Order: sequence, then structure tokens, then C-alpha cells
Amino acid sequence: MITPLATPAATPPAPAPPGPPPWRSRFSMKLVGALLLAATLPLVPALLLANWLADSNAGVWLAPRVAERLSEVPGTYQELFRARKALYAERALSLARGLPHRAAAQAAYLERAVATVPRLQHAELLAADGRLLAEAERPRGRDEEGGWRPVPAEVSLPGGGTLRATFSIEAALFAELDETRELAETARDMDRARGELRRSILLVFAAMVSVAALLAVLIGHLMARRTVARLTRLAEAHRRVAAGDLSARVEPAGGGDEVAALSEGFNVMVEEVRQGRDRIVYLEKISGWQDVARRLAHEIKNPLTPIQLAFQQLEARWRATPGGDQTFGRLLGEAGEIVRQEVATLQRLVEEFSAFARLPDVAPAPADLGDFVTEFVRTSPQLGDRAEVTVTLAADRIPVALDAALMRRVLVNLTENAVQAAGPARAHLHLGVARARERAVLTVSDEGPGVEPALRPRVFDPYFTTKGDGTGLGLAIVKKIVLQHGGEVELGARPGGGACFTISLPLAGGP
Amino acid sequence: MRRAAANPAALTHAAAACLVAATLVANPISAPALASVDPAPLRVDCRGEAGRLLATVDLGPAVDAGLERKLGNGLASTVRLTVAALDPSGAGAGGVERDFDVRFDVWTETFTVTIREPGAAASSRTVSDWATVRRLLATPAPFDLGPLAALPERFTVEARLELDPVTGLQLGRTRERLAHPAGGRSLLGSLAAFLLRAPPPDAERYRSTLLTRSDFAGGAASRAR
Repeated sequence: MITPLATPAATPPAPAPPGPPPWRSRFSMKLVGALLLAATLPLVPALLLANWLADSNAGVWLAPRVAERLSEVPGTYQELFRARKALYAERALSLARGLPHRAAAQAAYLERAVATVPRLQHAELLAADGRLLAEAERPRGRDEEGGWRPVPAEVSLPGGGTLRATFSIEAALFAELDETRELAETARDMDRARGELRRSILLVFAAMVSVAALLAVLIGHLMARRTVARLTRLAEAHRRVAAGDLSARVEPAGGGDEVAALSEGFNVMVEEVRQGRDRIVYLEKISGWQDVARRLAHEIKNPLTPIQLAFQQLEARWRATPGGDQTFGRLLGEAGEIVRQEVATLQRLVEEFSAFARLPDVAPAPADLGDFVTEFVRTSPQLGDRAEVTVTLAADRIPVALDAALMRRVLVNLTENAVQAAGPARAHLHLGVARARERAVLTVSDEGPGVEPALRPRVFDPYFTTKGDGTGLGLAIVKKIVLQHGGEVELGARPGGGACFTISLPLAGGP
Repeated sequence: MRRAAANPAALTHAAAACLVAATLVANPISAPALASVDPAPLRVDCRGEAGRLLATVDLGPAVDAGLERKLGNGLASTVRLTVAALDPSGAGAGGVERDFDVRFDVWTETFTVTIREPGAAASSRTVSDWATVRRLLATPAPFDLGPLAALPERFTVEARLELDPVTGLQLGRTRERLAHPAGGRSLLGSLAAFLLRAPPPDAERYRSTLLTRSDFAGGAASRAR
């Protein structure tokens, strides 16, 4: 996490104009429209095909000729039945012609007849008074299978009497006739309703097309909603950034696709823009404070010498006047001591203000960060007198571009800060050099009381100090120098207690 | 030029347009308009009885050889005869409807005629000759056209004769065939059956000359052509 910097002096960002909700964004509509088009376009020729099929089917199956021809089929059966009836009448007549006159032979004649005459099932001979003279019947199932229907044929015999013959006709013919008639009636009904049939079939297909289109819209909407929602969030964040809100970020969810990459790139870009803007704002602010420090130093420094000289003259005059008031002499001596101390304090302040105001521009030169830290420790014996210093270096070289003098001042300020934080006790300092995420990282940590989290954002502000005799310029100078090196500095807590300053610098020759 | 933003309403319109297009494709098979053929002249005998108008129509010209051939083909047929009194402009509601179910048995070669009329018991006759059938159809029993007082002062009698109208029963049978085309149930067939409507009536019309209501007030009879 990067510690938030001072609030920029710019006016607060105007609220970004709200974008359309995802379900009615233009992009979503385009996606859904494309899916709808892709789903329904093939259905249009299908609909035309269905129309043609319905038309041709209607033309074949529901043609008036079909119904008409079918309606003529019962007439054909009628002809068949008539022919059968005539045939059986002829056979009955023939049977009557051959009937013997002798009563004893008539029964045998009928028996032979039912056995030999095709389709003759039963024959009986009646007298003129209706009395049964002879009778014969063919055993069932001999030559008719599947049932039969009786066809009576009656012949009046000369001289009275009647020959009744019962022939058979296949019952299947009547079943076929019934079926054909039913079929013909159905065809006729359907022929009457042909137009309506075609209309209903096509309406069904049209309904299917509509349902398919509706499903396409629904599925398209569901599919588009997720992607569009992410793009909408990205566009919303874009609008916020455009309105000046550099805290806008996008959650790059989505399984590492292009939208996720776009979101991550957006976040990185906005973070860099934010850091750059914060850097510029901070440097501008420091520059303003440097002007103030320069004027303060000038205004304070000018009267100090006259004050000091005037008091020295006063003391000289007192010493040159013998027999003076001894009480006044003591008072003058004490006052002189106070004036010299305060003047010295003011001179120290003036020097610090002047130093702050005269911070030179950075003149970076290639260096190895590990070597630089090692050299700093080696050339700072006074540091070893006041603190236990531990240095942890990276295994490989860490090339950076730095202004050694100014960066040394950074380390001086930070280590001095740590020594002062330790109080009268001997301080424990840890200097570390490492490479992290393509940056050179220098850490300065101590085992002192640390800094409360609430105060950490302000410690780099000029003239902010928690020490009674501090000027509040040391860490401001540190930050300015680091920023001028293109780096960042942040204050955190050291694991185990204490403060930890982390300086990250760009690697030399890096991106 | 700024393009109009897409919105849900536009999509709804697009879907509606698709539906309309589909309907337009289906439109050619929509019901044909009734042919506006002038009715043929009708001879009718009317008489007032107990304040009601009884009309006996003569449909001899309609019951011709063509009808004989159709009714004698062995299929069950229905002749629907509707008689109504109309005002001079031709407007008038309802009428009396009478169905003649005719079936020629190709085995026995006889006609079975069943006469059905709403509110009356059906009667059935089996006859062996077309002449009897023709007489039943051409000169049916009088039609009760309702109270004389309800009739306009001047009116005509119209008879509509329809052969094999698509009855509710037949429509149901056709729907059943659509829904179960091969014995099994078909979803699309069921949908088509659901959307199937009865076709518009296709009737021959016969109309009398203008009659005057007051002519029948005293139980008088009148013949009009």
C-alpha cells in the first residue's frame, strides 16, 4: 500500500456523469441485436421454406382432386357389390335350373352345391306353402377367412316353391369401405379447411421463429450483461478519472480475458498518473515552503548580529566602569548568557532554514545502491558511536542513478531521526538494500517507539514535528530529494516494533 | 448525422416486426373473403299463424343433379339450410338452421336422411330413391321465422344452403388428426390444432322478393318469388 500523500490543492473532482445502466447500454444493445440477427436470419429462409412446404403439402395432400377421387371410391365399391349381387343371383338361378325333381335327390343336390359352388354358404328349398323341403350348409371356415357377410339370392321355382341361396361376401370389403369412406370424409373436411390448415401450420412456425428470436434476445442479453457490466464499470471509472477522481479503480475480474487486461492496465495507468500528480503537487508545495524558509532565514538572520553586537557593547561598557552595582552586574551576566543561547538557537534555525531553502537540484550519477549504503556507514563514524547499525545487502548489484551528496543527506536525516527516537538509549539501526518489482528498495528502520498510524501521512509535511526542538524540515527534505530522484518514500511500522522508512528508486537502465 | 441510440423499445419493435413479417408470410393462407355473389331468386310461401311467420321455401333449383351426385357418393354429407327474414337492406340476424344429414349406403343402395334442428328432436328416414330425398330437401317443412311483430314492415326471406359445412365435430376431428398425426402426440401438431379456426361458410344464397308484414297479420298466405 502506498501512503496517501497530501491532498492536492486542486479543486475536488466533480462527480462523473452517471452512465447508462448495463442492461440498456448501447454496447449491450448492439450485442443483443447482433445475436438476434444471427439467430433470426437463418429462420427467415426456414420460414419461407416452411411456407413452401406447407403450400406444396397442401397441394399434394389437400388438393381438391384428392378429396374428389377419394369420394368416388365408395361408388367403386357400389359397383363391386352390384356385380357380386348379380353374380350370386345368376348362380342361384343356375342352381335352380339344375334342381332335380325327385324329392329324395334334392337334399343331396343341395349338399353338393354348397360344397362346389363358390361362395355358396347355405341353400334351402321351400315348398309353395313355405315348408322346408331340403337344406344344406357349408361348414364354416372352409374357404372364407376373416368373416363374411351373407348375400341372399332367391329364385322362385316354376310350379311354386322357392330356392333360397345365401352366398358370402368378404366382410373385409365392408371394413375397407368404412375406412375408405372415413378417409374420404376426412380428406373432404380437410379440403374445406385447407386454407385454415395452412394458416395454422405457418402460424405455428411463425410462433417458433418468434420464440427462437425471443430466446436469442434473452440469451444474448444474459451473455452480454456480464461483459457489458465490466465494460460499463470500466467506462464509469474512465469518466471518474476524466473528472479528476484519481482514486477510481476497476476490479479486473473475468478470468484473465482482454477486458480484465484492460482493467489492470487502466488501474496501473491511473496509479501512475496519481503518483505523478501527487509528486508534482508535493514538490510545488515544498517549493513554496522553501521560499518561506528563505525569507524567514533572511528576516531572522539580519537582526541577530546587531543584537549580539549591542549586547557585547553593553557588557564591555559594564566591565569598563569600575565600582558598579554588583547586583546589576550579575543580572547583566545572566541576561547575556540567555541572549547568546537564544541567538545561537536562532542562528541554528536560520542555518537549517537556509539549508532547506537552498536545496540544490539533483545531479544523478550511476551508482550501486549497496555500495552507496556501505560507503555511508563507513564514512559515518559518529553514527557507530550512537547506534548499533546492521546492514543487509542484496546478493547482486542494484544499479541506480543518484546524487550521492543529496542521498547521503537523506540517510543522515533518517538515521538522525532514528537515533533521536531511541532517546538516551543506544539506538538499533537496520539498513537494508533489495530489489523488488523492478525497483531498488532502501529501508531504514529502528527499534524505537515508531510513529502512530494516524500521524504517518503528515510526517513528510514541512514544519511538522513531534519533537520539542525539531524544525520539522528533516523528513520534508528527505521526501523532496527522493521525489527528485523519481522515487517514493513511505513510513511504515517495523515488524517487532519501531519505524521503517522505505525508499524505492527506479533501477538505472530499467523501464 | 447522429444515430439514434438503441433502446429496449427499439428491440421490442424489431421483435414485433419479425412477428409481423412472419404473419405476413402466413397471411396468404388467411381466410378468403366471402364471395359477394348476388343471391339467386327464391320462391317462398309465407303465412301468419298465431302471430308468427311460417315460411316454406322452394329450393328445387338448388337440389340438382350435381347435388344428387355429391349426396349419393357413399359419404356422409350434411346439407345445412338456414332461412332468415331480412330487412330490405339485407340486414338481419340469425335465422332458423336445419341440418339434413344424408348418407347413401352403397351396399343396400338406400339413402338415410336425418333431419336435425335446434330445439326439435331429430328425425330419420331411410328411403331407396333420390326423388324422395330431393323432395325432402327441395321443399322442407315450414320454417318458423318468429313473431310477426318482430319483423320489419317490409322484408325478404333468404335461404342459405351449405353443403358439408365444417361443423364443430369435424373441426375437432381435424384438430385431433393434426395433434396425433401418426398415432403419437405431436407438439407442433397440437399447436397447429390449437390455432386452427373454422373456415368461413361457403353457402349458396337464395332470396325472395320484398314482402310486407301486414299482409300476414290475419293469417294470410302469400307467395313471393
